[in-house]
This record gives sequence, structure tokens and C-alpha cells, in this order.
Amino acid sequence: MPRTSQVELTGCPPFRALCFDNLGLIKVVEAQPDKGAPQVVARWGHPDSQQAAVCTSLSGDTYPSLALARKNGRVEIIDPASGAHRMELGVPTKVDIPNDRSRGQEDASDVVCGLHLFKESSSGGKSVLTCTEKGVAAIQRVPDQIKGEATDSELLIANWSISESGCVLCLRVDTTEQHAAFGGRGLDVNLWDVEKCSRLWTAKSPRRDNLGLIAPPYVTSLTFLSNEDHRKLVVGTGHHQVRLYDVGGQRRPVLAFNFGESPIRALAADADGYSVYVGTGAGDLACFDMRTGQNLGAFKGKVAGSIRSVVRHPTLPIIASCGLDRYLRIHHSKTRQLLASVFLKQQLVSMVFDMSALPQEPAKTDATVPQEKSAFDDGRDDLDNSILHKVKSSKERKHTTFTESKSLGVSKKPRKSKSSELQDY
Amino acid sequence: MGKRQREDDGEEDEGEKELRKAGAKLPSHIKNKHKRSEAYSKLKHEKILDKKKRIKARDLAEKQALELGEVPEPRKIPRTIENTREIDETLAQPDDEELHADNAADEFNAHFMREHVPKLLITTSQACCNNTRNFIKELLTVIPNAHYYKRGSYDLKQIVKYAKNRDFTSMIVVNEDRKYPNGLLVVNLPDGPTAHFKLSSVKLSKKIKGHGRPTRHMPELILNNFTTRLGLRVGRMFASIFPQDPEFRGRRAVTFHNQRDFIFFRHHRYIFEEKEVKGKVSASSKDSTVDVKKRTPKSAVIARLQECGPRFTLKLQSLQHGTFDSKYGEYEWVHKPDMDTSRRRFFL
Repeated sequence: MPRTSQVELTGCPPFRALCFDNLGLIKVVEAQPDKGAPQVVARWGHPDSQQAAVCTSLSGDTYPSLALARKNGRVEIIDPASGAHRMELGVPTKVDIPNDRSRGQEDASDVVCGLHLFKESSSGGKSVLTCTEKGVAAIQRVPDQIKGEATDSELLIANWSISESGCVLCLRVDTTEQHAAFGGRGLDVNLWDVEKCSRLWTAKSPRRDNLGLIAPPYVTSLTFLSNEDHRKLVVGTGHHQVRLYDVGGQRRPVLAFNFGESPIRALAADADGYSVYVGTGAGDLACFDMRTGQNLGAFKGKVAGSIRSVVRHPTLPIIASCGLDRYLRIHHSKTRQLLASVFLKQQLVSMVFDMSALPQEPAKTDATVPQEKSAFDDGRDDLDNSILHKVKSSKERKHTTFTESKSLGVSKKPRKSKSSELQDY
Repeated sequence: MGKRQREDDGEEDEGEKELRKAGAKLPSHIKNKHKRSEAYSKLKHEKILDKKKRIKARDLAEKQALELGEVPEPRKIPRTIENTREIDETLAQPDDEELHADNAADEFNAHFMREHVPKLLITTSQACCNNTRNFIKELLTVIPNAHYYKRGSYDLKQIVKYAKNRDFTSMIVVNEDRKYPNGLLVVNLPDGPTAHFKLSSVKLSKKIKGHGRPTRHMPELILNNFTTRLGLRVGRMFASIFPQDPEFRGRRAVTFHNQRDFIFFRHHRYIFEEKEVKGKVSASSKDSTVDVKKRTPKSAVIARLQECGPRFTLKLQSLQHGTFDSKYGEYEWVHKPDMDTSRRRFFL
């Protein structure tokens, strides 16, 4: 008798995620603790291709807001819990120079490529950092709803140009929100001080290859390796290369390796400070150890198209990926098993995990929630132990090296011998 | 008893089991080939007769049930790979408003809104051979407003640019390997997507028995079984190659039939003929004078098909976002070996 039904996926822990697609819709996917498979619980917005999402950012404070840049050049501030539209901003596409009226024209063809919503500052009020493809970065104050309309020039805090040539493709701000990294086509990685609007560091292009050629810079994705340290930058390039830069050390990459044959599209760093999840344009998703450059394993199952976004859950050991194949997939970050997948009908652009409104019944007491979490954690530990056990039984030698490298704690300092070896790269 | 023989015994079908029960020797155990084939053909013939009998009995039972006003026993549905297909959540629902909104925003919408007339550029891989040329000759007869361009030594990206500037709406590149066409790249212009198909079982019209010559009328297009989200997109891509207004006078039909992810291409001409059919003579009025009238031939309309060719089969390998870009391109769907873990999983 042939198998006529699908294999049931193992359930996943409760989470709440927002997915953004190319029709401008926002879909809320929730996995309830008791209901098993995650489901779409809400859909916000009307389908309109001009409203397509470009990039998103969730502010990291206790009552987060969500910033969403759309294709028509507007940035919306949304309440992630209810989907309520709070505020809308324009994006400056020219650089304002105080004593020069002749220079700088608003450019309608320019598109937003990067966005970051800052935490609420002590002086009150939020601000948002935007960057356009032609390299105009701007920090704008998000106005309060009560104060009403204010002109764009009043809201502008800072405005500067990243590069005159080249096309900016990605922007990432570190956890302290003092440093921003930019990269793009024809623009190698730059690290900027957000407060002073000054460039701190620029990457130097790699050495010539054996044919004497230099590949033009093509940065497609960026991430900071660990939460504590803004000096370790992981960069994915269009030439299917993943590079690790150490800003404190040198201007050339400390570590670089190739992955697959199509451009790297998405990068996400793990909370452990050394592993990085890499997604490519041909639908390959893998985990790499940035201390050694070793591929820790691929994430398989239901990955058919280009991965536009990979996100690691802040507390649970799960990663979510989405992209052009219209699926949201949840993988276990350590066992790399597919836990759940949701078909979301449209080509997805990005997704975020919403931590503010975890799916739980309001009647439940706080004590029950951690218990559930710990139950899942225990399960994970079991899985981890079983994996470790397997490794031990099959290759004992390998296991010992694994533990050694783990105990080194390289996330703070790269091993000196390694970096000196790699300097010749 | 050897292992193989034991396994063979395990694969006995019902007829063989019955034979064994009856004490008869199985045809496969007869050593003389002539006798064995004789016994086998006899067995086969009996099976066919048996089946006919069963069908007759079933029909009779159905007829009787209908006459008595009862509900006849439902017919058994054979289990096939298609109807035991794995559950697929991407199947397109006709009442899905999101799907319609997505279709209204996609790259093929301009074609379906009749904003332009399809214009196709056909070219080959570099240095092509006669088989590919003949295949393209036939494609040119099938697809209206198609233009063949020599490939020369140009890059595909250059050709895409050229075609965009000259208002081509799509482009087909026929790839060949070992002097036979083996791949088809269909690029929708100006914004993509790009589909790559494996091309197999090519049969040119010359090799098709009783083939006809196609006229220059605009053909009708038949797209069968493109049901999933991906299938719908591929179907829309095929539709955008052909003009939207068929000339029914020409009675030409072009079919893309999807079955288990293989897309079968056929090109037919159909005809409705009035044909004389002999009236059935009822047993009761066999020798009465009235039956002279009944024996005069009746005319009935019969549909006939004539294949025009070519015939080929396509299998989707990848669907790329945007126009052709093998180095920096993004894929909407790529076939991967780990998708082939079940025979009952289909993507189109």
C-alpha cells in the first residue's frame, strides 16, 4: 500500500511572526501552544503591488513598533500587536547641505533599500534610519501622533551621503545602535558612526585572484556576528562568498569561504556568537561556524526558491526563513529539522518575530508560560545530547576537537594563529 | 529453493494463485517455450473473456437497478498515482481573492489585458545542428508571430537586451546536446520570469503517421492540469506566448497537457464531420415493410482529430525571477533531488 498522506511535521514551540510580501500584505502567523501547526491568524492591508514591502525593522524596546518601508517610498510605523497604522513618513532622497541650494534634487526613481527603527531614546521619541539605493542615508524623528503634521524638514535629524557611486543594497545597525554598516553593488562594506554621521571604517577589496582579476564589490547581505561586539561583521556577497571582517584588526576579511553557486541573499547570526545562518538565491540554507568557516549542515525540506529573509528567534532555538517560494519555514537551529511550514500565497520579502505579544491565552498565569518553555528546552537538550552521543560513538576524535573549540570562547577574540594564517588571503 | 525463485513465487497474481489451487501447472513452469507461450496466451484470452463477462454483468445490474428506480452500485475507481497524490496546500482555489490580486500584479497581466500582441524570438544555443533547426522550423509553424534569429556568438544577456529593445514579449532558446535538442529556455520579456525546461521525446511532424499541415490561422490554446500556484504561473507563461484571439475557422488547437509534472505538447487540427451511420435494426420489426425506411443511413456528427506536429515533452527544471541571469539570478523554484522522495508528490 503506497503512502497516500503526508508525513506529519513535528510541532514547533509557540511563537508569533509577521510576514511581509510583494503585494504589501502583512500576515500574522502564530503557533499556539495547544494547537500544533502554526497558522495565519490575521491579514492586514489590501493587496496592491505599489504597496509592496521592501524592508522592515522592529524596534528592540519593551513596547516595540514596527517600521515598514514600501515600494512607493513611504515608511509606515505600525503597532505589531494590532496592526494599527501609527505614522507615515517620507524618505529623503537628496542630501541637504545648509548653504548650498543648488545641489540636491529629490529623485523619484530612488528606492529605499535599508531601514532601522531605533529604540526610544531618553529624550523621548523614536527615530528611524533609512537608506536609499543611491546612497542617501537619513535619520528622521518619528513624530508623536498627538502633535499632528510636521514638515519633513523639521523631522530630519541627520542626512548624509554614503557613496556617490554604486548602489546600496543593505544596512544593518548593531545592538548598541551606535554603529551602522552599509554595503551594496560597487560599494564595499562601510561602518558608520550613527551619532556623528562619520565613517569609521571601510573594507578593502580582496587581493587579486590567480588570474590577476578583482571582482567588483557586491555586498548583498550583512550582519553583526555577536550582540556584544560591533567589530565582527559577517558579509554575504553576490559572488556567493561569505566573509568575516574584523574592524579592529584589518581591512581585509579575516575569513572567507564560498557557499553554493548563487548569490548570498540572507544572513542571520546566532545568539551563541559564532554560528551564522546563510540563505542563497537558489534556495540553499545552511549554518556555518565563523570560527573555522566550517559548514555545520544544511537546512532541508520545503526550500525551493530564493531565500529573502532568515531570522533567528531571540529566545527559542528556532530559525525562520521565507522567500520567493511563498513558504514560511521554521527549522530547529541545532538539529536543523523542519518543524513547520506555512504556505503564505505571495512572494515573501521579509519576516520578523514579534516578542511583545506571544500567543497565549490571557487567562493563563505567568507561571505556566516559563514551564512550557522549559519543557521545550528540555526536549531540545535531549535532542542535542542524542546528537552529541552519535558524534561520540562514531567519531570520538572529532568530538573532542568540537568541545575544545567550544571552550575557547572565540566569540570575543579571534585566535591569533588563525588570523595570522588568514592574513595572506 | 533459491532466493530468486522464492521471491518470484511471492509475486504471483490472483490468476496464478487460482491455477495453483486448481492443481494446474503454471505457464512459467513449463520448460518448452512453444507450449509455454501457448498456455500463456490461452490464459490471457480467458482473462479477457472473464473481464468482458464481468463488465457485461455489471452493466446489466446497473440497467436493472435504474429500471427498478434504485440507485446502482457505485463503480470502483482504480487507484492511480494521480488520484493518490500527496496533499498539496498550494493548489490554487478559484475563489481566492489574493490569488486574483497576485495575478493582476504579475508580469503576464499586460498580455491578458490585451495591452500588446505577443511577439516571440526564437534562437538556439551556440553552434546548433540540423535537428535543432528542423525543430525550430516546426515551432515557427505552430507559434504565430515567432521570429527566428541566428544565435551567432552573442551572450544570452545581450540577446535579451536586443529583444527588449525590439518589443519582443518573449523569447525561447532551444538548447542542444549531442546534436539533439534537449532543453528549452522560455524568457518572458521585459521583466521575466525565466523558465528552464528539459525537452524530451521530440517527434517532428514528418515522423507522425497521417500528420496534417497546419494553416496560418491563430490556434486555440488548451492548458490542462496546471493547478498549483507554481503550475498556474507556468501555465500563464505558456499562454502569454500565444495570441489571445483564436480563429476558430482554422480549427487548430495547441495543447499543453500537464500530467505528473510532465508537460506534453501536442498540435492538432480537428474537424466535425457529418457521417452516415447505419441505423440499428430492431429484432421485432425485422421483416416488416416499415424497416426499409429505418435502414436508410442516418447522418451523425462525428469529431475527428488530425495531428499536425511537432510533439514533445517538457519538464520544469527551474523558474527564475527576472530575465536570464545564471550568475546573480534568484530562483522562484528550483528542482532539487531531495524533492524526489515520493512518487506521489507533484509541483505543477
